[in-house]
Amino acid sequence: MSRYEVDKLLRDLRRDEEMATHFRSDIETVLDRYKLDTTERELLKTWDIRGQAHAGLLCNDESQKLKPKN
Amino acid sequence: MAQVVAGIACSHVPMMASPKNWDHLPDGERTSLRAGFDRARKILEDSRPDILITFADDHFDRCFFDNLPAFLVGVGEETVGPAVAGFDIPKVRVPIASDLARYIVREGLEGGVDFAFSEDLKLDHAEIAPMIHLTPRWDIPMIPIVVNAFAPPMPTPKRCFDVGAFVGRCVERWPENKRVAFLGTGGLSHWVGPPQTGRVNEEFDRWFLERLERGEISEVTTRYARYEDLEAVAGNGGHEIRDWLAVAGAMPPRLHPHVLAYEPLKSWLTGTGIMAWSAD
Repeated sequence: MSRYEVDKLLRDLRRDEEMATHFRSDIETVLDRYKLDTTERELLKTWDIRGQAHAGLLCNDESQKLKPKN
Repeated sequence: MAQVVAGIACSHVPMMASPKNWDHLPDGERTSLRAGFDRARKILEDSRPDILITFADDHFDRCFFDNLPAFLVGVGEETVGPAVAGFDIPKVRVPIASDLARYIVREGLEGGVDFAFSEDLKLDHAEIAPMIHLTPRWDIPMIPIVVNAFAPPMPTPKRCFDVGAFVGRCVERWPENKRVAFLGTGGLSHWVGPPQTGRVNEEFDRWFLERLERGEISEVTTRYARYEDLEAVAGNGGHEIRDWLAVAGAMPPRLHPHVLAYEPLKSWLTGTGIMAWSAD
């Protein structure tokens, strides 16, 4: 698990509205910019909050706002 | 010599910044918390502080895992906020009591507390949301001290109390005739993000407030020395009681603690408390 990369992605999404919009419409391209493993990509693509928490990934309080529309 | 004249500790729910969020609270909770903030503001005003030192944590708006100090002191000429817009937090600009801030950092580095410092530290809702109700004119020079009570590993609760005590002693040996008040913000119990989001542990919150009011700090710092033990009962947001403990540490014996308000505020997802240390 590369928790730092997931946290960095979530932080960047929260601070960059343009990136957040891009994330909602083209998630794969945004995820490609971060060093994520297969499990992390899947948890983020499905926006599995409970799964992310169980994997010890979420340390961010704004995640629900960023849910992609896929 | 400078003198510590008052201390306030309170929760820093971002929703408290906006009047419309107060309007949505049930009458009893709104009345209780408004009265608590009014009393805290009066205590601060009556203590006539020249300087306000804050202990508050960050929410990845000022620090992140690429650079995450345990204790970070703002030493520049002024501070602005919020670092990141949101939650209807208003923009503010506050002068920093730079001379005392630099004195505290230097005393720390020479005396056993390795403070990080910043010439350009911004504020976030942790300071701004409660200060709207406590120092609404934004005219008291402040010293923002950011405590890592957000992202593990964190300084232990005892360390936070001890660092607060160190800062309090620094103030009282600073050779300037200034009156200094403290404000710590955060907590009480709340879970933000994980599956328990929205839970409030009223029993823990009231136990914690009672320990502070009785001065039984070591019961808190011993029982919750481990990060996991505190998180289990108070949530990931409950770590912010570190900011209250820092204020408790800074208080001289002549100032007495009293709880001003507490509400297990489920609508704001947080056990919300207000406490003061004053000469009365």
